[in-house]
Amino acid sequence: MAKMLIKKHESCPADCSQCIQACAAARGGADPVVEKISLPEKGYETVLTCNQCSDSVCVDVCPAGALTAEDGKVMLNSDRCIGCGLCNLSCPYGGIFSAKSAHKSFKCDGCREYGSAACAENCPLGILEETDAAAVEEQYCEDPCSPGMQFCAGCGMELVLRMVLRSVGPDIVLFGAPSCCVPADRVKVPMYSTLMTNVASAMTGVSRYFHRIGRETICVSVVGDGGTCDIGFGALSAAAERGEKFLFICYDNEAYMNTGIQRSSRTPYGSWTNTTQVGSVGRGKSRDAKDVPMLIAEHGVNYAATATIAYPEDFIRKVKKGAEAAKTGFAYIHVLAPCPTGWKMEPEKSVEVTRAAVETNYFPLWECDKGEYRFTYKPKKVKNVSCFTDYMRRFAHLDEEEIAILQGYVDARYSQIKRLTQPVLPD
Amino acid sequence: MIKVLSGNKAAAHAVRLVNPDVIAMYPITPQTPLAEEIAAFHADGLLDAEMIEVEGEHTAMSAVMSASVAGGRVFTSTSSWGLEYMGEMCMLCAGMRIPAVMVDVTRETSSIRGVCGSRQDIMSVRDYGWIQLEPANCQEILDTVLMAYRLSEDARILNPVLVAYDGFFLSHQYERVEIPTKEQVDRFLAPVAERHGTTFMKDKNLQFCPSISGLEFANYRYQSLQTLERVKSVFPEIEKEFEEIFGRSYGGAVDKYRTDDAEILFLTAGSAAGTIETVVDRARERGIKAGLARIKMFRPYPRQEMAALLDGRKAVATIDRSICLGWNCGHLHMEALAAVSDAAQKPLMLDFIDGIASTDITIDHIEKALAITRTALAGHEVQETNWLIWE
Repeated sequence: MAKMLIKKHESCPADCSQCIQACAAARGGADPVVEKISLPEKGYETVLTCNQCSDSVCVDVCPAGALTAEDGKVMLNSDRCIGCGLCNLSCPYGGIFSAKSAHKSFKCDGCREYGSAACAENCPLGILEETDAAAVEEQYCEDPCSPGMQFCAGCGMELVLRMVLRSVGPDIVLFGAPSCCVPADRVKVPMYSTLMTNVASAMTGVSRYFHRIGRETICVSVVGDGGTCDIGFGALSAAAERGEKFLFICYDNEAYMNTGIQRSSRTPYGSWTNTTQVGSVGRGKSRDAKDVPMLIAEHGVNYAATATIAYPEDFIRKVKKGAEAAKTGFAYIHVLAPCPTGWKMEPEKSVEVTRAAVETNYFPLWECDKGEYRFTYKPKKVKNVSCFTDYMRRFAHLDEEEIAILQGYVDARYSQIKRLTQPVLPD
Repeated sequence: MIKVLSGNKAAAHAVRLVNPDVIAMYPITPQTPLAEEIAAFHADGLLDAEMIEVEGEHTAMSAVMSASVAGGRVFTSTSSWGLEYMGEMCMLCAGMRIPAVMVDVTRETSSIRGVCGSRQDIMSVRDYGWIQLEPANCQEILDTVLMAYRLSEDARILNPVLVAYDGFFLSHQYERVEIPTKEQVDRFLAPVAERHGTTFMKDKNLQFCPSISGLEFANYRYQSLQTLERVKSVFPEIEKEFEEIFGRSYGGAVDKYRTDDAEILFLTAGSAAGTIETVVDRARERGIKAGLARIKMFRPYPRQEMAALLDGRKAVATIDRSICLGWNCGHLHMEALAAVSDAAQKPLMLDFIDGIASTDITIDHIEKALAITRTALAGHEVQETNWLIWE
């Protein structure tokens, strides 16, 4: 299994350069591929070298095919290198060096010929360290999905699924209902496919049995808004009330997309769907969406949060927090996940549109940790809801008055959450 | 230990002795005393199981089914509307061949006022793919629940089993019941101990219920059909082992009473058998060769056994406690008509609707049925389906 060079977040001594000397020696006197960085104004000294990224930008940009990813290392074939320097420019870590006179780039090859990493071996303080990367690779580098996921371009749900699986790790049983998210034979974790009605109750049965036999495997769902908020809501509400110990993740694309775009209780006001059509009389959905994340939070659950794919750091943090909370009680995460097909929008704007949903307060990011509400992100300048709706043709028919009505719903929902995030004043 | 127990309490003792891993029940009359008794066993530390206090039968079935998929031994019970409400999950449970045991305390449906006994509710389960067993007294209830676990978890079967007994009549009737010891039950269930704890969820890339279609799907259905046929040979083996350990024997899929030379054969299911046996004895005293066949295994239907049993009788008088809508008769009669088509010499087939909506099935009623049957045999014209309720 591949080894990985770890650099600890410690300052190096200003006068130490043993790693650099060892590197040069290991490379037979050639230029070292470890570089000293001095930040005297911060009182910080460190070294840089190649991070051997699993998803390497340098490999992508190389026009000559000189850079390849092999066995956990990024390798540079000097014979093919044309010295264009694109890799140096694109590397965010300064991990590739340029020998200008020779018109070649050069980089760390993990001391492939030397055997072990000379820099780490010679670091007197253990700041550089070479470790077995197997556990890390399993957790972070392995794609949790098999090749051949058959979703539409720009599918938000697929991103949700990948983020959840990578964040939770392999000791999981994944639950899914009949929907586009029936990747049962395409995920590399045990998966339990339920019917539309019984996601939460199936998770109850499995997690209770695990509890009985002392198994700590976490039960996690990735289920759409129909199975969560409508037909499966009774079972979900009851599981939340009982404090069942699992993590329920709803990917909300605001309609029944798999059956061909029909309205759900999460479809927003004014939105076109195939069951809320726009015609001489019809103006899209006549009512606002049901605020399900808030309803679940108000069950008094361990953890409830909203998230979306434009803010992955926020989402991943919440998944990890939710997984932790699920050890002692019910955890729920409601993720806005666009369906470009059903929302009638450009697939490449899939992430962008969810950022607009947050920036307009259409979909505020908050969490409720054991009853304590707080916003996890606040837009600096809140935009009008039309900045969100303009992305999608499902809202194209809305006139100013209707946009104002939708804005009213957005404002009301936001102020309700805001009220909950504020401390209760004494009487 | 010998106790005087109701049918519900006898079932609760069986559950206590089996000690499932996960139990989920939603109360409904007349099943409630069973749910309460199990809760009491749990509260007193006599039953070490995960108890899920569910919000409805749909979740009850889904939760126990899923716990079984994860490797657990499970139990649930219901009645009437509860059985219909969990219908979706029941079909999934049998369709995916998940071992599970459920008790249904039979009751009417069709109206909110249907809080009264009959065999009507379990008729909707006929085509779900469950094995259906119907004991006829409190001792048999306890014993049948024990046997249901052996059957359900048998490696050759792996299929859910429904134990159904008459609501109010049996569920609330107290009788002498011999309660076996835990050691006896453990010994009896030892052959299925290995199924216990097996699960698909131990390795990567193993999925439960993937979306399949076409030939693969058809293969699942074919296997279900073959499994139910296998039950017909496996169940007698289990009954025999039961007798060796507990000393009580039962008659297999069809319980027969004085049938060997019977010319007039009564046919029924459930607790009505006791009353009919009395009438059979009385008829025999008068020189009328009567007998009784009680269907204990309603699914899989003992087609071959029934055809052989009906063959050559002069008349078959079915006492039905459910109505088969669209057929103008009861279900037992309707299915006996199908079975008798395999027989060489077809008897006169008559049906008697009685005991629905908790009405009493009396000796007088059955005597009347016998009289009508004899009238028909004497060449007079009688209706095929007769209602004894208003007699």
